[in-house]
Amino acid sequence: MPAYAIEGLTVGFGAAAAQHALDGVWFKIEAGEILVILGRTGSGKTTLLRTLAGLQKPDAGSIREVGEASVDITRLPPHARDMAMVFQNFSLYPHMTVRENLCFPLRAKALGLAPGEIAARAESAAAVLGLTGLLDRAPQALSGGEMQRVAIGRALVRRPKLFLMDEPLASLDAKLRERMILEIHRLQRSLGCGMVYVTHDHAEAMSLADRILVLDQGKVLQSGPPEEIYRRPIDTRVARMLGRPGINLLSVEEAGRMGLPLSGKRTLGIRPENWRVTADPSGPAVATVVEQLGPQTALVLDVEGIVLRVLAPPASRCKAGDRFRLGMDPGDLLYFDR
Amino acid sequence: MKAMDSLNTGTPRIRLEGAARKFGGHIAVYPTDLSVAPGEFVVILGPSGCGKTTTLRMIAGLESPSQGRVLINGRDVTALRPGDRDIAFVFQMFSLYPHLTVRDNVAFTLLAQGLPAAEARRCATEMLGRLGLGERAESLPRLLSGGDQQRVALARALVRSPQAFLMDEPLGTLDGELREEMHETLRDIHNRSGATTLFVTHDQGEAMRLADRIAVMREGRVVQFDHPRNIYESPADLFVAEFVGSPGMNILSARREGEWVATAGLDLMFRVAENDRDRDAMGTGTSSPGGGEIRLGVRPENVLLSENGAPCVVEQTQFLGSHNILSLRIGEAGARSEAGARNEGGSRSGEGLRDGGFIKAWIPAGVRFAEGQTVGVTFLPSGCRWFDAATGGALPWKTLEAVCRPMR
Repeated sequence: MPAYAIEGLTVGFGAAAAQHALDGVWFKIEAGEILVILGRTGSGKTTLLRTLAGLQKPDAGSIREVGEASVDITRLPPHARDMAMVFQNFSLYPHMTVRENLCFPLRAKALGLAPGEIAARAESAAAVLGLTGLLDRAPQALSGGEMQRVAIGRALVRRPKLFLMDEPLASLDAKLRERMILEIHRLQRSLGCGMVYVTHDHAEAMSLADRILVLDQGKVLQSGPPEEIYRRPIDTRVARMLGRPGINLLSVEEAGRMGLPLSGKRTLGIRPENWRVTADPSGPAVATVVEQLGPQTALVLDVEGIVLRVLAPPASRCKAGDRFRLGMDPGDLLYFDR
Repeated sequence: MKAMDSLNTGTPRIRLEGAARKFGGHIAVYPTDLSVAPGEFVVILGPSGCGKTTTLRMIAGLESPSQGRVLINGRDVTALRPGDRDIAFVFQMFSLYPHLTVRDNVAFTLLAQGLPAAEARRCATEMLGRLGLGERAESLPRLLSGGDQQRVALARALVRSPQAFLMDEPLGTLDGELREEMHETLRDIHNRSGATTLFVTHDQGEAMRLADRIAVMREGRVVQFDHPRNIYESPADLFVAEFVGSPGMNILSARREGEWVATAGLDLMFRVAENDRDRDAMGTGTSSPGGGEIRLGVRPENVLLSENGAPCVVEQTQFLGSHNILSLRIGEAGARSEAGARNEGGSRSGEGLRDGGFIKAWIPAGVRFAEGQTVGVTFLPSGCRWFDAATGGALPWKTLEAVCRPMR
């Protein structure tokens, strides 16, 4: 399976465009990895995916497929790129059974596949996705999760070099999404082909990604493994996008009042789980909100007007009005230039 | 929580008495009793189609109950029009006046109530400031992002001092970061104003964060109405067990053998006593299952990794920042039942584990396991919950001991 090099990709970034555009994007898709593109609404992430697929023409920059040789595929039409895309709104042909929906992408004359081969591929994709018992059903008779599995199956049967997924789980409920994340991960690992997965959901991104690429206003802010992005965010925008409850960001003045060193930087960041809280009736921090987030307790603390989000260890019982002392490991402090 | 309980002894702010709603032959809401105390923040939680929005609309007066009554502050309002009930309603789909500035959109509500213009504008400005919209006060709505427009809609409701706020997924369209901020703001405004809020959502995390009490609905019925902690720790049935929590409770099939219960697909055995006084006092169910089939529910944080545990294979590690979630594939029996379930599709209650063949374990950040590695698993006895597979209802059993049964 090839890797891809995306170099200076620019789409619709001129005087007229602002949202959804790309402004000179550089990155690599490694062979066989899951690269998750994480960004807010309008960050350009779907435009990026569509440009990779060939559905959108870039104004500048190139896409190269890097295998045994390096091939410029920027001008290739979509069908010649050997990529398969799954959309958020899975569009199945309503008048075809599941089996026919799976076979359809393989019937293109250009592929030159024998009918036996087409049937075999559809059945093997159905087996992988647990759809064997549903092959002769109409799409209307399927649940949302089953329809999405068929949509993924239609991408799968083509055995593409690269999967492109555009928020494929956004319209599913939470439980189903959890299951599908696991299923997509397992599927990708067994097929070994690369995957570019677009989402605005930080938990989905961290769960699935080998690497995350954070996109904002058409620019790459940072890319790397989830832990690296989480622990060493390059700026406050990236820091705020990952983790719930969100990171605490203190200004020079606030850090000063709490006696924390800023060493010349503009903003100090501390993740909620990195505070050490100790119950102390004369402590400076008062709990204003106590929330049970499952195994953890999320506190909102007021320290003389500074509001802090804190995650207390599992099973600690406390209530609004309780007072605490705060500590932290200096190694967990993050410093930002702005 | 104690304060809340004592409030419950007074006249409820909102009360449903056997209120039900039918649409043709379809029963959207079965006869329902529900009381919300003054000052309480109650969340109605459930999947789409469970009747939660219909329930809220009956209270607002946007739907008439097919039977039963709606009371606000003890007064029967069943026959009153929405405008005469003194409640403020925030919809998921909001509409702002396009030709008015953001400030005037908010002030308009107060003007309509007869407040002097200067006072109305002052209140509007203050509320916009609290929702982080101070700088947008002079803008026209169409110049705002969708999220900001939704916050203006919230400001418009919150600026009044009605008997109750009714909110139907008001944060549905917002991105994650903004949602979290809005949770804090909403809870803060609720606390300071002493308002009574009834909030509808399908997002269990949102419910856990916001609510004093949660009413979990399923297929037109309230299946549990309790404090978030009790809902989380002692779900009334399998549906609640799986629906609440992220990830939800692990559910395993189990078989009774005398005073021991053995799990299927995982070599663990549990010694149980049939009467847990704590649980029985809560009236969670009968003590023995009708059909004899049993399910064991255990939260991911009560799955313990130990060398003496039953062997499982690590399928995936999800790094979530402050912690990790491990997906563990259970033994051969589990893998078999997984293959069976996958062809069934669907996610009926009680099939959680058999659907996936996995258990999920909560582990601290920093602890590492490789994919494919074998680990031992056992469950914290005090974290085990038992259910009657036939009815789905919780069994009031106490777990005395968990042991790993040697592989046969």
